[in-house]
Amino acid sequence: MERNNKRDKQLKQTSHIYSAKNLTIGYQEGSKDFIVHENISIDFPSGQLISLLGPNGAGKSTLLRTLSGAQLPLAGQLTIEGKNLQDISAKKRSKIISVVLTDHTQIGGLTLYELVALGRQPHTGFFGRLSKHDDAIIQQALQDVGMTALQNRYVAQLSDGERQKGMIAKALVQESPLILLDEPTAFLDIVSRIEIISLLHQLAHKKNRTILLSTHDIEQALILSDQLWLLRPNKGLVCGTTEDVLLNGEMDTLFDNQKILFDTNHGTYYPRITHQKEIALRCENNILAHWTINALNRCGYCVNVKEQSLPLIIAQDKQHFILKTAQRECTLNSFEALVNEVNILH
Amino acid sequence: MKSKTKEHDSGKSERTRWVLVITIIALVTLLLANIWWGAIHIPANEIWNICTGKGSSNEAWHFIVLESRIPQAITAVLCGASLAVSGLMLQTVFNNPLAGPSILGINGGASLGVATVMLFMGGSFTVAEYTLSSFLSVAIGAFVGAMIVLAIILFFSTLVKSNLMLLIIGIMVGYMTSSIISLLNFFSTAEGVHSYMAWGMGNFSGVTRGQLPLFISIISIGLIVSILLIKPLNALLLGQHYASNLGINIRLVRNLLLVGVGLLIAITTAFCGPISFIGLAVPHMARLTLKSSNHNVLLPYTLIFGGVVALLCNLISVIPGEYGLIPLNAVTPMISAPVIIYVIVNQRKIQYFN
Repeated sequence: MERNNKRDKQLKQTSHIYSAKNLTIGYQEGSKDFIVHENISIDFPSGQLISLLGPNGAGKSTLLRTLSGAQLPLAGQLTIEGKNLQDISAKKRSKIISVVLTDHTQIGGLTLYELVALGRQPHTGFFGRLSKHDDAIIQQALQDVGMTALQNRYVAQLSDGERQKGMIAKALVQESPLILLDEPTAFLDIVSRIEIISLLHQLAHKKNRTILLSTHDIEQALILSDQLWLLRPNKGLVCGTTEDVLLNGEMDTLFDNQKILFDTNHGTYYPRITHQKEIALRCENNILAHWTINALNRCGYCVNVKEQSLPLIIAQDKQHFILKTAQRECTLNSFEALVNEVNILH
Repeated sequence: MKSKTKEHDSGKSERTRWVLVITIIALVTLLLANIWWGAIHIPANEIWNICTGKGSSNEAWHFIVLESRIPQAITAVLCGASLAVSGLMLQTVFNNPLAGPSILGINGGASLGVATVMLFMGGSFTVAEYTLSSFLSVAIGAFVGAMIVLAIILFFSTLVKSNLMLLIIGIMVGYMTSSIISLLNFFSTAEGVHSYMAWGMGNFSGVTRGQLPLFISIISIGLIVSILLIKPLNALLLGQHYASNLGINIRLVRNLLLVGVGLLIAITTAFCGPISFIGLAVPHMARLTLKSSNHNVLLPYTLIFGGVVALLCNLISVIPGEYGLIPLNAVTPMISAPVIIYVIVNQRKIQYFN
């Protein structure tokens, strides 16, 4: 346990444990290079949770594979703790970088404990015998991911979310300062997704690990990531603290698509509204206003607050809407009635 | 909570211990049964006397026990262990529970090597009368054949991502080797064909007492390699990428493993013929009874279980007594194929498939 804390403190001293300079990632097929991205320069902040976002095919997995050392960069330099990544032996590297992947495995017949124990392999001897110290670290990791009670269950008996937490515990016991996860929340339900990302956030801060995950769960990523890395096809990588990236309008450059827009208010993507019809809205309550606009947008209306000549909706609460037009005025007692009325307006 | 998990844990390891003890008892019982039971009835007390070195009143019995039954029983144990552990290693390294030496065509490759040597020598020797040099040439032929097929399968495994397709490629390679063997047969002498046919039915009596030390030493090398690979084999359960992230040198492990498997398959095939199914089915029987995929226990257990199954098959093959032997390759599928069918049908319920 003491050794554990010591190592944690050691990790804290270096601010940038890992950095990439002018990295070109891609594949080599024969003598031809297939470049996925060029000129990537990044510094890993230590003890933070980083989310790597990007559309399918942007090269997220390629970047993660290159960073984990599983694939060579076509050009550029990866430096870890002052050394070139390629000069570090596989054995040493396994104590610096651990991964959680989406690969097909055959671990159904192992217990959760045995799965987590596999992460100790870089530290154990030739036959992989676990010492008391190893056992203590495994128990600690199981506790950190909240799975102590399930340790004797077969992996086959665990849910997808529990299995993923087991994989994270496996990465934890590798005692690497850096953990890379390739879409750890894919195939999980919303509860498990939030649980996994919260867990990773906690681990990054409490255990002082630098955690980089690629994900499509933008909403959850925005809430809990310390940094966002946006991998944009043909436009390179943007990195920064989540809120900086967000409010600089970078989210709109993530997808090369005119049909969607990022809603900075709510942290989600919306389809771009291209409607011609306009309507005015007056509403005191923000939540009610938001959902009234949502309903009106769906009916093909743009909400315009300034224009006086437009039909006007006054929303008082979710059961009281007043619709005023030049010809008439009526009271509506539900969204259903409102939508029906608005649909026949033109 | 803590005491509860501990209890659970010790319950599991206790179960493992019992399973091991029962299997070892089965191994010893079957070993004795194999020495006692045969074409000629020899009283048990006579066998005891022969084995303990007191000798026997009957010269023939003395000869049968020492020169035939004991070497045959030991050969069966070692062959069974080799084939089973080869199957286990192939299943783990190819990430495919239905891989096995015969399905991937490795037996076939070894057979082709043996056929080439045997048939080109024109039946100048028969199976029962291996001289050391002829035996060595057969063994080397088998090893070369097995390694060539392993190399082909390995090559295709980098091209073909689907496990099922790789198995089918293995089966195709197996067909190709057997068609080449047919061609060789066509051009060979009648004696050559006959001795090849006899060898092809498979039996554990191919190793004489004189050859036993050589046989044991080569098999031991292969088995030691397999035991040395226990730790990386566990890592490989997670797949190649995870394993290499855990510091495993995939290429080295894979090469060692393939040479080990090649050696084991080659030597068993050269001596005992292409014995099918044990390599495929025994790892499953072992996992099902042990309820674990952890190679720390599973690999040694598969070794023992392979010996048990081979002894059982051998015992069945001598049932006709004085009327002769049932070919081993007629017995092994009857015991093993139902297991594979059971595993496939129940794969949703079986832990290690998920």
